[in-house]
Order: sequence, then C-alpha cells, then structure tokens
Amino acid sequence: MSHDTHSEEYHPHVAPISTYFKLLIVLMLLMGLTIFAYNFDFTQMFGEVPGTFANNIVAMMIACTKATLVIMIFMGVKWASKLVKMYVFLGFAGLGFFAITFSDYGTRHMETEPGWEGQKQLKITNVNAPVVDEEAVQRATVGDGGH
Amino acid sequence: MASTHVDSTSHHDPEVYHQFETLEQQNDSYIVGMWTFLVTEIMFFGGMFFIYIIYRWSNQDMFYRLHTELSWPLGALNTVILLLSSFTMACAVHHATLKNRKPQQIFMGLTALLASGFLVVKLAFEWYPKWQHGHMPWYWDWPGHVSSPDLLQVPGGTAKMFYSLYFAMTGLHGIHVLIGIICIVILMYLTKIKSILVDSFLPTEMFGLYWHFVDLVWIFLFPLFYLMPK
Repeated sequence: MSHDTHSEEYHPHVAPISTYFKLLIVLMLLMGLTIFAYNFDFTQMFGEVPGTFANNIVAMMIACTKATLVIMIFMGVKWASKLVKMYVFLGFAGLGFFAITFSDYGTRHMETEPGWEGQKQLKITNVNAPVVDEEAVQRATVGDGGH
Repeated sequence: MASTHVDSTSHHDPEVYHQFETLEQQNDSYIVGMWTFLVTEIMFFGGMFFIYIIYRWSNQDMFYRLHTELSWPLGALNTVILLLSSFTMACAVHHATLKNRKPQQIFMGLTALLASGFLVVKLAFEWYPKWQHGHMPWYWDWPGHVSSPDLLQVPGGTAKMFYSLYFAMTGLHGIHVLIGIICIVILMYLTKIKSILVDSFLPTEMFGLYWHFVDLVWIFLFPLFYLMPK
C-alpha cells in the first residue's frame, strides 16, 4: 500500500556532541581574537579616525562570524528546513531595513529649519530657501506711499 | 475509498496532532513558531543597538573614555560563561532528542548554574560597584569616583547617556537570562516528573533556541561596550 511510504520513520537531525565541542573551542578562540584585536592599535597604521573605524570593523566582523556559527550549528539552522532558513534570513534582513532609517542622519544638514540638534550644526545651502517676497514688499511700499 | 480512510487514521501517529500531516511537519511548525518569536526579539534588541550606534557615532571620544570604567576581563569572563552555557544547552537538546533523560537533566542543570553565574558576575561585580560610585542613570553623581583623570573631562550628560545605554542594554539582556533560568528550572521539573508536556524533545529544542539567542546578543554586547577602540 502507498500508505507505508507515507508513514516512513521521521528522524530529526541529531548533531554529535563533538561538533558542539569543536564549535565551543572555535568560539573561545574567536573571543580571544576579539580581545587581541581590541588591544591592537590600528590608529598607528591608518591614523586617528580610519584606525578607529578599522578596529570597529574588525570587532564586528569577528562578532558576525561568531553569531553565524552559533545560528548555524548551535541553533541547528544548517540542518533545518528551507522554511526555517527563510525565517531566519528574513529576521536579520528586517534589521537591515531598519538601518535604512539612518539615511536621515545623512540629510539633516540639508534641512531648512533647525531640528533638535540646534541651529549651529546647520549648514544651509538650500537654493529653495525662502526668499524675500518681492510682491509683499511692493504692496507695503505702495501702501506707505498712499498715506 | 472508505477502507483507505480508516486505514490512514488507524496508522496515525499518536504524537501527531490532528491538524498536522506528519511529525516532521508538526515539529517544523514548532521551530518556525519559535523563530517568529525570535525575529520579534531581533527587532527589539535591534532598536536598542541602533540607538547605541547613533550615540556612539556622535560621542566616540567620550564613550571611549567612559568605557574604561567597565572591566573587560569581567566581560570576557561572562562571555566564557555564556559560551559554555550555550554548549551545555546544545548537549541537553542532543540528549533530549535521543530521549536520554538523565544526561539531559544534568546538562540543563549545568546551563542553569552557568546562567546564574553570569548574573552573579553581572550584578555583584559590575553593577554593584557602579551603584556605589553613583554611576546610575537615576542617581547621578558625575564624576564621583572615577578611575582615571581622563574621565573628568567627560560632560555629565554624555556620561549619563553612556550609562543609560549600558544599563538598558545589559539590563534587558540580564532580564532575558533571568527568564531563561526560570524556564529551564520549569523544564527540568517537568522532565523529572515525566510530564507528557515534555515527552517530545521540542520544548527543550525551543528553549535551546531562546538560550542561544541570548548568547547571540551578548556576542555583540561584549565588543560594543567592553572593547571600544580609541
């Protein structure tokens, strides 16, 4: 009967303990690497600002590697169904969409009205900035002349 | 046709609820459900991380000075504790899947112990001295007791912002650890009394996902707060 193939034994994936142990060692080494990179001064090599940037990039790259390993192996996404993989991917992609809101910070200096950061940070270079209303000035002048 | 129908129901796995076709589909639904929750958690913590990025971006120099007040060796110790607890939790899930109840219980107990150790380090050795020095967002006495003269140049508002972020983010993470401990103790009790609720390995697996997520957040918190470059 076709039902026999339908009720085939289902075995959830069981990763061996040794895999988890190897991952633990790798994660510990990566933690050591983060601390080493923290004490390694990139500012000597690249200068003040790019050095800090390089340090941050290195630290975040190590953190992302650790996070990917934890998600894939400890959380078992590597062996999970495509549906679960899609969910995980979309979860982090959603966080990426959040990051788009940062673009606001790139355009604040173009604002014509001062924001909460205060006027002194504003560099008004907007060609559409309000200009003197010539017509109103003329009307006022005419009115004054009448009196 | 009728006989086929009777046949399929009589072969129905008792572990499979009637709305599911197979055990595989049922288990997958649990995992997807748990991940749905974790995605909301990603958004929750993600918002905090973005607030952090904005203030760190505009106060890099002052934040660097302030981070020297935090002890990176204690942060590293907590990282080791959490990584170890993630490993023991993965082992607990491994044994739960194989229905080895005794080792499952032992590894779950170890996870709860390590999680408690994390909270002890966090509260007793990190938060308590901050409270003593008056470096709390609601009890403000800046500079108060500071470890280096560099910190005297930090404006009070910036220091307050840094500590607000520090306590909010590590605090939110700490609450997750605390909830984790409560959940794991409940799971251990249910496993001990052989409750049908934990007959399947899925509750342990789902808790494991939660616990690894807590570890995941710490993986980012550790370099962002304790290992700030100059």
